[in-house]
Amino acid sequence: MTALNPPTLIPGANPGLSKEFLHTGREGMALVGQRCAHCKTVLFPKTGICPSCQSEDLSDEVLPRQGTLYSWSVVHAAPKPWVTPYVIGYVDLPENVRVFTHIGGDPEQLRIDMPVVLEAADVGFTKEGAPRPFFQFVPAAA
Amino acid sequence: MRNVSIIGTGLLKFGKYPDIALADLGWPAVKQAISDAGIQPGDIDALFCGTGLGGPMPGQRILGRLGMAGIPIINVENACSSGSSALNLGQMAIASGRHDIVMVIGVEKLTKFNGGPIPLEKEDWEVNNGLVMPALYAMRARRYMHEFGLTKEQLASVVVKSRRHAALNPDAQLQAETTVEEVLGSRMIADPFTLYQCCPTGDGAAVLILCAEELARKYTDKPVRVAASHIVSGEFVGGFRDMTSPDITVRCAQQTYEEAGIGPEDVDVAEVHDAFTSAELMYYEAFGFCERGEAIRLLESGDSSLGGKIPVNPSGGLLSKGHPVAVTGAAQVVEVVRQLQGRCGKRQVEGAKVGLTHATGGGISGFDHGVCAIHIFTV
Repeated sequence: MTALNPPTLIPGANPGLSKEFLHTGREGMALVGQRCAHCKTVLFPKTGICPSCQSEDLSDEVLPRQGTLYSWSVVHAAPKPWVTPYVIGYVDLPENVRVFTHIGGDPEQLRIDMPVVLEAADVGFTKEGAPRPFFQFVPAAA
Repeated sequence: MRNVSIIGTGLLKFGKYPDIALADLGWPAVKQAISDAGIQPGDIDALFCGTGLGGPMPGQRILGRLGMAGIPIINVENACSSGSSALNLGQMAIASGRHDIVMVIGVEKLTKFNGGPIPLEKEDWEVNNGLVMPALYAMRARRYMHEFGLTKEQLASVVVKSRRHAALNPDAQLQAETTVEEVLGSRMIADPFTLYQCCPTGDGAAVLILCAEELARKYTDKPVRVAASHIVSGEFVGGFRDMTSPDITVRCAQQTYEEAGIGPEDVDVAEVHDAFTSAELMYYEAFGFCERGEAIRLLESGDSSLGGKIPVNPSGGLLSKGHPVAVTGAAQVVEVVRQLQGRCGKRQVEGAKVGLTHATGGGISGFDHGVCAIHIFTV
């Protein structure tokens, strides 16, 4: 047996969203996930190992910015440091990627399966009280 | 493999007991179960103790109070299925021939977290970014309402039925009957759920005494057979998932029915994991008590109420009894065992011979739920 080293550090959930998960290009901001070189599965967020085939041969993949809103909820009770109300939801992107996300805009205007588009946003606050950089999806312009 | 019976039950009424130590929540229910089983403390060969958030070695802390420690004790963490997972291990320990009499405990003290939704693991991506359990269920509910035309009034009516049952259960935390208007008028927690549509948490303990079936009648004339004890874990899915059907429960239910050699039509009484209103409806469908999309019609027909064809949650369920994480699975078994023994007073399901319990635990990204435990009991 060869010595087993710990996996390459991929910033976990705790630091919020770093440049490791974000790509800024001509079209604007996009999420960065991973594509498995072996079975082509696309995943977000990055983990460094493919849940379909256990391959560690993954490369960064810039994800499409537009998807559809599967469902959402306006949260009115949450632990600190969250400040309520805030809106969370699941957005389905092409190639079978479902993203857990915050949702911006007027919640009264949200509809199941509506097209939504990614934008940068501060959501919530850090323990120290600073705005927390993350992302959100908002209804796509008609 | 040997058949296994439940010969004794103990239950501390769920409530808010911030000043009582976990060990002291546990021992009264242990004494009650031992007395109910007609055994001596020294007859117990091993303990399997479930806790989700109670910290290290709850089993030792409880048996220490009673001077009963020294036997093998295995503490079990499996989120909201911790108590029912402990039962699964206890059942296997007897079926295999290793032990004759085993105790199972579910114990929890959630008041130490000072209220709010059940705390989840912060290393998890979704949890760290704002997911709370009421909102996860709320997103399932919203999608279900969209696909099957369920109204918010119909959703609220699940609570009305729950409280109607709980009013007959002195062990329920919330016993006052309610109305759809009152349910919808309570404060919003995670849209579309108002407060009354979310189970309260609480502290509590539930205890089961298991015995090899061939020895059970030495101790009791009302043993209840464990006809199936089944656990599955959730499957990780990174992409699309149909959130209107709890696939982990559908899969576990099919396998548990097979293990017991029965079908949904044989079940006389069921205690299912109604952590939120929509969950009870989706579980009617997952267990085959009705077809997909027909849950509200089953509820409105009265057939899932006491006196109906398949009374679900005669105890009031999680919505009225409360949900002290690890205790829930064991407490459901206390209720169903007592139902099959004909000891449930005003909420007794007449002539119940086959009962089912279902506890499922989640709160991690990519899973419907992380774990599902289903038990079937017969007399």
